[in-house]
Amino acid sequence: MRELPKNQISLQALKVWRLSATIVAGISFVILIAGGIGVYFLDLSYWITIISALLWCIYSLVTIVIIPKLRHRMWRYEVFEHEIDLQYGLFVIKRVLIPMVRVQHVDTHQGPLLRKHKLASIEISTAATTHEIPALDLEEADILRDYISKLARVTDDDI
Amino acid sequence: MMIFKPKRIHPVGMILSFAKMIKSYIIPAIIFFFVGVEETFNIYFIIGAICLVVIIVIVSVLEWLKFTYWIEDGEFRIEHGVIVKKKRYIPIERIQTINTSAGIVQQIFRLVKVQIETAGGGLEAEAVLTAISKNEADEIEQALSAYKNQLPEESIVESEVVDKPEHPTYKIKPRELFVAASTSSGIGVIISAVAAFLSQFEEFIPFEELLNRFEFLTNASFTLYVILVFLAFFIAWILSIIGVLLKYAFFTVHKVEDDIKISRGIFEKRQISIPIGRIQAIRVVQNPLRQLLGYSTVYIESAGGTAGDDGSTSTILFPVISKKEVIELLSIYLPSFKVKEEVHSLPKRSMLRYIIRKCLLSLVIIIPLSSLFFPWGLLSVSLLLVGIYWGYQTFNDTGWSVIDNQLQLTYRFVSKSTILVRKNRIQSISHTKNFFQDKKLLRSFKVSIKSGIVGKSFSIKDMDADDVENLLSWYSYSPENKTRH
Repeated sequence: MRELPKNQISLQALKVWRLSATIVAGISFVILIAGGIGVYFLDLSYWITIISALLWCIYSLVTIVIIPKLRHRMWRYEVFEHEIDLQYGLFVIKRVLIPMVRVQHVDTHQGPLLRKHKLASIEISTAATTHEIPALDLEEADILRDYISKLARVTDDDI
Repeated sequence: MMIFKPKRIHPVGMILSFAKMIKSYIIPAIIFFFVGVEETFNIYFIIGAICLVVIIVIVSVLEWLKFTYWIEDGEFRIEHGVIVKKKRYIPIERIQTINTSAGIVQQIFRLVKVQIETAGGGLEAEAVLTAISKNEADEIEQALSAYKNQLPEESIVESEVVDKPEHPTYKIKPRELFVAASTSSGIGVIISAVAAFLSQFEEFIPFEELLNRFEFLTNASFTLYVILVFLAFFIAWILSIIGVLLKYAFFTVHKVEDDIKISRGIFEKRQISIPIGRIQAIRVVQNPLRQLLGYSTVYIESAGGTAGDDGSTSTILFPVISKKEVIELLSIYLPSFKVKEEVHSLPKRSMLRYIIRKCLLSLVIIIPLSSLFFPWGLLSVSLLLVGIYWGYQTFNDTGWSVIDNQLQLTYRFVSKSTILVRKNRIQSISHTKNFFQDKKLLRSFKVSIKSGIVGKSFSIKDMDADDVENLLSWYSYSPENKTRH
């Protein structure tokens, strides 16, 4: 067996994922309330409201509490001199191997939530595919980006 | 040679760009014509239209004047633009494919259209010379290949002495052309087109009334329908045969040094040349009909954006050849790709998963049919058998093998496809497992290659976990990491 990639992503990522899931849950809660009011005035069965509220609870619980944890536990990456090794997934676990010679460019980016927690995501592009390592510490992401781009400069032949 | 000085394309190019611009204005013009009906409209409309046409004429003349191309410093250079001057320099090593084609306008004037493509994105080819003479096109190609040949070393003299083999040439045989035509999957497309066409007419043709009038024929009406449907199918089939015949007539493949040159077509002549080193992968496809007759189609996956036929990114190398010839011809034209008949098949334990998957697919048809047409709809349950057979066949046909640096994946959805890709052309590989696969030690395996603008990926479901590990270490560039068993 090939060993699992060594590095895990930042624990801060958990916070960010939970926060963004909470925001989504908040927005859907507003929609739920609006729907509930609609159901009340349209004299539809109140069961619709109850069932949607239940679904909302389950959905929020899963996306806020469980999924970020699982996702963080599964996410692993390692950057070798000649290749990048990734593993991630929730129920379907994916393992990716990208040779350095195939890397076309790397970039880091951060949204407002990531910026607040001083995190950044790395995006690695080959000629055919793109891969993302989400939520690394900003400094680490910058170092890794420069490191990969330096290693990727060694090409054997193009495309 | 002339080609090293800036040069304009043939004046016919003016007509072509004029036609192209007019074409893009036709739809707005029609809408305008039908929507904006006013009293004073006619005069203004005509004045406007005349102005527009004059402007377009001027623009296309200017564009033609300003468009020049030449070769310099190992670059194919283009300058164009009336108001904003644009220059595009394409390094010759970066050129992926050169397409030559001749539409009707070009054929009248004995000209060709040349498209030069790199691996870069974008829907259009990087450089398009809409109308140049055949000689000029040949000159460009010679200049480009001459440049490429002197690239590696300056030992031209030596190679000239040694390298004088006759270029292998493949010409499509009439028999093959006929098989290609009669078994092309284009039939399906045309059938659906005819069906759509007929459904349009349903409103106009009072079928009911017709049937009533022919009441004495009611018994025969069913037969009549069958015959009509059969006729429609037959006509569709003939049409598709003619279409394919026109498209693949005179299909020829030359191998000239390091390029594969493909030319074909009657009305629209097309020529494509692909540097062998730029080929990303080879795909051998057999649709069930052709498989029955023992024929298959060979495609080239290349990195150019628009090299392919019909908007797809693959180029047909051999439209229809027999199984034996696949191996034979590949060894002549592309010796670095080898097809193997014997592949590592999937482990027995994944068979059930294949069968279940196809059965689920057939359930999608069975359930609505059975519930909608209750007693008789249940007959559709027999589709389950089809599902089982299909799943079993899919399982049977799927396999992989590795020869040196080449990976071969064979799989089937409806058609059986075999992918040949060399290690240094694989952009990345990955495998996935879900809970059920993990329990049975199975993995789904996927390779991605660059093909066209975005790239393509090919995958095999439910491979043995150990096999996947082996493929991973085969592909891995750092062998020291695959220790610990």
